[in-house]
Amino acid sequence: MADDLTRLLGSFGSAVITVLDGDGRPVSARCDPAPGVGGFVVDLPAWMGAVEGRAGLMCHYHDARLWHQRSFVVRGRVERSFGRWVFIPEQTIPGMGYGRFPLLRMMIRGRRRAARYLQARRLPRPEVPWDQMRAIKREAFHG
Amino acid sequence: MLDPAWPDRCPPEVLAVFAEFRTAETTTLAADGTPVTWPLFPMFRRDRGMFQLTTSIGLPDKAFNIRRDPRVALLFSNPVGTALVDPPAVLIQGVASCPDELATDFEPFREDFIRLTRAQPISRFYGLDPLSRRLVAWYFYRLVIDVVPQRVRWWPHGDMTAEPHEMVLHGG
Repeated sequence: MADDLTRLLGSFGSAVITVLDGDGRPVSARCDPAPGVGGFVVDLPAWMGAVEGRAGLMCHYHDARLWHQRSFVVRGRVERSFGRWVFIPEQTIPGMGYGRFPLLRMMIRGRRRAARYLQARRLPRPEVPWDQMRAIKREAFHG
Repeated sequence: MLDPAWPDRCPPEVLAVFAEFRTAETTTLAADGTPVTWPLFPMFRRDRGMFQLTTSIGLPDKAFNIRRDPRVALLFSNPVGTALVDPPAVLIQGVASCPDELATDFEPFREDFIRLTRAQPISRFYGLDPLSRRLVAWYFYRLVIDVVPQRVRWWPHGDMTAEPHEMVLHGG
């Protein structure tokens, strides 16, 4: 897992690390994780007030037109080790742009989960106001 | 309690980040307490001193997390796609709510939709024909997430290794 993750992290300029502060609130910062023993060494500045425990790492990319999106999340934890913070990965969750046919897979999965959400609440499938959407899009490009 | 006037105390470069950034790295807390972060399109409501986000019911984990634990963070650290030169990084910590109501009318989000469509030109092709409508309809069954900031921190030049400028709001 660590080698795959090292490769994956290396394909992004930096990552977002999120830890919990002393009040249990999530607090995030940009970081540049470096492979180390048992995990990835991360710099967590003092202002974060980080505590050992649950943590997450996320990388994402989009171009200037919000396209060619790629993202993934790593669930794990942070620990102090010899005066440094180490992120210990546990589970990688692919987001956009990974695996085979990522967009199609997202569409099929999203459609299924949406159906389950509606079914659990006995809600009918809503009507999407396509004409309204088309009018707004036209306005976006033609004023 | 919401302090709707806090944006008036923000420097203009921070307000520009809220207005221009395409993504906020948004963290919610999973059932086991793990902070889980995904990029979302942020909508800053300056007049109300809060942010809005939306998520599809086909990607509902964020909503479930917020209903269980409202503590969230929004990090603005990726300026790609904006015209801003050397913007600060900004971190919001706050509390969120996500009512179990579907937003199926785009009109209240008209200006945001226009901004998003201009930022992501390819999205103009979504839902043009019956097949793509069948495939993407679920994406437009949206839940609205309100985020009330409790603490605002920012870093000139995006240097988050430095001590931040900070504004503590109610509950922060």
